[in-house]
Amino acid sequence: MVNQQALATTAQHLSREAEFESLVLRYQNSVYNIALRMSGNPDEAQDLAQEAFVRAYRSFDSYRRGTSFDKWLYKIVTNLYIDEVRRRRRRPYVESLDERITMSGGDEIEREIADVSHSPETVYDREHLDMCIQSALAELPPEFRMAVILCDIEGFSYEEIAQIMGTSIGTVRSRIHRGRRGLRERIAPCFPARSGEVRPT
Amino acid sequence: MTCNMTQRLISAYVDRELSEDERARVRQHLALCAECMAVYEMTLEVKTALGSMAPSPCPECLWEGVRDRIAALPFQAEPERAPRLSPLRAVWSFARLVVPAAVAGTIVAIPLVHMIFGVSVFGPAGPRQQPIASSTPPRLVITTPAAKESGVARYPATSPVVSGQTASMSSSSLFGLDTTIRRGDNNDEHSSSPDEQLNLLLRSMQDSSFTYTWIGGSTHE
Repeated sequence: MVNQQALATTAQHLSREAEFESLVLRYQNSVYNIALRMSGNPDEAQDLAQEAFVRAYRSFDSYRRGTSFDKWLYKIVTNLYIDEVRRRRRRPYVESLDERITMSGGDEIEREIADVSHSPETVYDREHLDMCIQSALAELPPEFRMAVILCDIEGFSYEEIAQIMGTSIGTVRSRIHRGRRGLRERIAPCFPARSGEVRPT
Repeated sequence: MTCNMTQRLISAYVDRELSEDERARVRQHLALCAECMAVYEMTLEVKTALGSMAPSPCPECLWEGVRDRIAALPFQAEPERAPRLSPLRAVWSFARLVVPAAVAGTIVAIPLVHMIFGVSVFGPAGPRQQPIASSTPPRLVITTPAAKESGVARYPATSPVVSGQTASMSSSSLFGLDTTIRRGDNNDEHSSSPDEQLNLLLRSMQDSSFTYTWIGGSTHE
């Protein structure tokens, strides 16, 4: 004899999985992209995106149907990415470009840096600019990075970012201001036409 | 507006997240300040550059990885919503909580009332002194001693009535009991306010010469 209750539960479970799958397929590009911009590393980004979806699945029951799924999902994504990126942060190798290089014999020489500012092909090379932005993003504190990504890459308003990040609009405004100020200083060399005009503030 | 203030607002200006007033002030400053204008243009370039970063396609295997991890999770059926209580069940679940509490409260209250007020809740243990007419509710009579008359006078009784009329003074009630004050010297009974009765009762708890009579009950001295 077929157990009606078990059948109903299984059907419910399957329909829940199907619903969740369609949501994952719809949002996976965006969730992965944010993870990539946050971590700067494709493998890590894939890990983060998968973990975010598994967490979302676990608390899928707490998501109220009919409300904005993306805000709910990005809240999970934001909390996870900020925590994980901070936890996994590797000490970047930092070297001052102004420092003289000490040779094996003990002699010191001036560092020579190729001047790319006069090469328009390089400046307008999309890939180069993206790499430049990505490395600048990596140097921002995770909260500033996330606020800038949500604003400039995902196109959310300050109010929406405040809801996603669980902060006030004033905090969002401050994070974006400080994040962009950091980016401006770091990626100015990628914009040779402007690099001489902006002084660090 | 100073350069410092303007540059703090430039990001929100670029994002169109300023009030009209702030926006106008920033615009005004930018028209006059080359340095802030350069910051504004650079901020705009940063925003544009971020927005036009080539989106990296998500790896094909992302959903597969999620699906495998979900499948490995212990099976979780969606928790069923609690069924709505039928009115009968609602009454039962309410009664199940309240009735034991009420019973416990009563058990505690009976000896307390007996101890504090000297009133037997269950009525007299011995033979009744005055049979109560079936239509007359039991009442409490506080008798003040003649010697304490001057003390009692501080709680003046209003509208003295004769003994025979006290049964009708149902408005004079203390804790819901029909209560009467009787002066010890002339046996007159007075209707009195519940406040006055309470005062007398509290006073008499320290003074053993007051008498309580439970009409139809025993006398405690």
